Amino acid sequence: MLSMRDVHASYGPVLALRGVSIEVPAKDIVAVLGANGAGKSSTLRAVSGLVRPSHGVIEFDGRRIDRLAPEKIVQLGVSHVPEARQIFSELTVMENLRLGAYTRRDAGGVKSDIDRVFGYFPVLGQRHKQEAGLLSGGEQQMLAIGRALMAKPRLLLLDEPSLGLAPLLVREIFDIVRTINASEGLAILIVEQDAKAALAIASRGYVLETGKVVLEDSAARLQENEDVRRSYLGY
Amino acid sequence: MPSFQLPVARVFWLGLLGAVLVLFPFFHTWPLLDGYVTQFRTFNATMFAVWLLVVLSMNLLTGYSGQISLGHAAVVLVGAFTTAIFSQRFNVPLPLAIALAGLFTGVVGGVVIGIPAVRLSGPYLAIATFALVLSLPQILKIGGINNYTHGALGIGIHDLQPPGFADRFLDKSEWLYYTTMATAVFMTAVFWNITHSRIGRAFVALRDSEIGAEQMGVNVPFYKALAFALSSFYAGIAGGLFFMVQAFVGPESLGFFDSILFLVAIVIGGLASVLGSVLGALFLTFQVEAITRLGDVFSQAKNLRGVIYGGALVIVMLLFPRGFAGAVQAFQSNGPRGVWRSILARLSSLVELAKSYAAPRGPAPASPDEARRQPPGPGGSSAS
Amino acid sequence: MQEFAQQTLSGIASGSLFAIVALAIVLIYRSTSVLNFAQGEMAMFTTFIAWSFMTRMDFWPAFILAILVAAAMGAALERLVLRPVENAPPLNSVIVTLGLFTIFNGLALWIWGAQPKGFGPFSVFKGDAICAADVCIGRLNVGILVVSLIVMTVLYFLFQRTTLGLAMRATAQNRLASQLVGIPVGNMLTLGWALSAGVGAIAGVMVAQSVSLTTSSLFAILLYAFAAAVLGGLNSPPGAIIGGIIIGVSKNYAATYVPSGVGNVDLTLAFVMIVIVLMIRPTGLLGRPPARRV
Repeated sequence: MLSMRDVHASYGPVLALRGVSIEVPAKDIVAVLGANGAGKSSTLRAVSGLVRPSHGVIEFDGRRIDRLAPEKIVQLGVSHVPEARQIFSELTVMENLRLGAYTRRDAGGVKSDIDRVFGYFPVLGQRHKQEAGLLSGGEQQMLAIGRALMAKPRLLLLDEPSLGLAPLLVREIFDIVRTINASEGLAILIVEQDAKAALAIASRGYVLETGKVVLEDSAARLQENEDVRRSYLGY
Repeated sequence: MPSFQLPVARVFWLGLLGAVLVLFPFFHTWPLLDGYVTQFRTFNATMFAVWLLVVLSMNLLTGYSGQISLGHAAVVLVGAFTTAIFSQRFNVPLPLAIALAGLFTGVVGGVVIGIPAVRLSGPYLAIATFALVLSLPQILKIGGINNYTHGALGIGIHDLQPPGFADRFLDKSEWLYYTTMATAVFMTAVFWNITHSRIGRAFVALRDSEIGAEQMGVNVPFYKALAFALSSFYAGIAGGLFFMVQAFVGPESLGFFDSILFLVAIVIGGLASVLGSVLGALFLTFQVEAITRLGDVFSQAKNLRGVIYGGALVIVMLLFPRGFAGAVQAFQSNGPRGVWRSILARLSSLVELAKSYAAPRGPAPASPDEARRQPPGPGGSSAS
Repeated sequence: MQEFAQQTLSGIASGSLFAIVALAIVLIYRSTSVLNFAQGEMAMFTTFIAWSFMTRMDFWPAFILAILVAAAMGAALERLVLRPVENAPPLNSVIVTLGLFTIFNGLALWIWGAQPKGFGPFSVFKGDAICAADVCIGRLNVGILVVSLIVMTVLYFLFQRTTLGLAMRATAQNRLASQLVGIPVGNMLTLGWALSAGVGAIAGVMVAQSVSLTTSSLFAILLYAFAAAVLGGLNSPPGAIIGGIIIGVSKNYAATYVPSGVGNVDLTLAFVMIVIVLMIRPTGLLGRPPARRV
């Protein structure tokens, strides 16, 4: 469904990606692991159009998207939950969700999707009139995922959903991510420092180092891999 | 200033510069040069020295520390009035009066503007200083205050003569030139050292990101207030010299449009650069004459002054954010083709931007951790 | 007492001028986080355009045409001149808008000259003052207040009740997130400039009927409008209106009750009010603290 081939990208003079190739099959969960600054976030930013690749091809459903503006990529069905959540903290929870559906024109569908998001994250339903900035860290992460779902994506890009959250909350959120993947049938490309949590729900994994893919394998085999265990799993 | 590789060359150029500065008032009497340099140029050169201090002071605050002040003309004006009141009313000797004016504006700038400014971010500070420069003429005329400032009449110098020992060699304009230029050269050297010290680096860190500076261990409120104090000190001295050279100061001597001109000077000269300040001071010295000359060729030039300066501000800001000084540096390191290529690259990126909105440059730091890892970026310009 | 009431009412009347210019400033700041120092000069320039239209047609069509021209001009400026500095430090955008300030000032002087142009009052704004128990307010001033309120209501509706307005608020808050939910951020910024230039044209045409049309007539008002915007809160449209009225009223009191030996203090008053507000409540009466931007 998503295919990145030899993607290079840079921020000004700083080279962030130096040839990344990643495949995400439909309805699958794929994890990208790596240290800080390895290019994980940049990979997602390249897919969603925030960074324009200087070289290489990104295809979604067989269509090239690496020259499209971010809003066009959202319309095609790719939603990005960015690093640090980036919710609209001065708007209400409800307004955040409505904005998630900005590219859609079916008012009725939007209404029922809001209810569906509240089904996954009941706490958001209870707080729908509250300013998003007043939510706790975990609730903000839920809102960020909920907002992304509102665009009715077929591919969800998740950037560090565990960041700054207590382990119990991380498990809760990963459980919901798995549920969403199963019930919505959408593909997920997840970038995570918490390699253990990510590999637990993913079927395949890629390891990035300094902007390059150095290892790729099924999630099960990566968990067994000596290097991965030492560097990212910590045992 | 251009960086020369051989110390010998450096000494040679500095020596040549010194010789030119020392001999400048006599150029008009030399057989080969008298066709080009008239006696009036001595006055130009004197004003250049005054403007240089003004531009340095503004560049310290805006170019290095990133604080937007539209009230700089007001600070210079306060310096001029302080000098005038001390020297003409209380008969303090002029050099001492100028030093007192610098101290006064420095303390006022640091405490009265700098400390509140710690809490204000860019646009608010710009508005507050905008209000200051517009209301100062009125404040100077308010009943009570006008006993000292003489209200709309202003204050003049009656009898400025070179002191006895110099009287024999120098006339009044030459004496003014030497004292003003010597002060400017000395203060430029001090400025150079400040901006290349820890203090200067703290200012730049402050400009690039206050949060980043904080995380690097810079005491943000202290350095912000210090930037205002230092900048106001330079502006106050410049104001004192302005009064001495012009032999008069009134409430309307410097106003909002001068503040804009100062801004034009630092932007087209080059932000955060000593060389840029020199170029900016040249601009301030010759801008009236340049527009008049342009008027000989293109009769509408005089009426279009605002359009020309405003256009220069916009174009330089968009195409050469580092001003002429940046172009000079690029020329030194890359040659004319390098300069041309960088302008073309900048133009094409502007065309790209007009067509579609680009994402903010660089990944947003996700956590304080990550923010700390990133070195402060080069911002819009870099220290020369 | 009667004088006090009259001064208050006249203060509200002149405050309405500051309020409507402040409204345009706040609008642009809110939707693009650029403080537009050229706001007053742009409004002046488009008022001159309205004036040239009026030599050929009636007031209302000329007014509406001028608003449209202003909006197009605002949009073009955003695209061509402001786009590159929108993500740069505020220093860059302030410098660019100051450049625009002198450009518009110079252009207007060149095209239309320094002579004041006779300008209104027109149409419904013309006529006798409205009085109640010896206290009067000019028709034009009532008109300006009403127009400000209409503009504000329309804006309130746009920002709070429509998806487009929601998207504009989102863009002002977090551009990255706005891009990610599929908002065409560039278009929103262009629209923000178009809207505020349009409101600026409304302000200019209304104000010029009261102070006559010269290249400097709106500059004199700009400072008070800034003071009003800061007082009310740079990101609060109702704050702009309230701030404008407070500034207008206090300016009138100062003119009436400050002893004549002291001289004029109106500009000083604006300065002092700005400084006091910024010291006590840096975000103004109704403004909210901005998110810290790295």
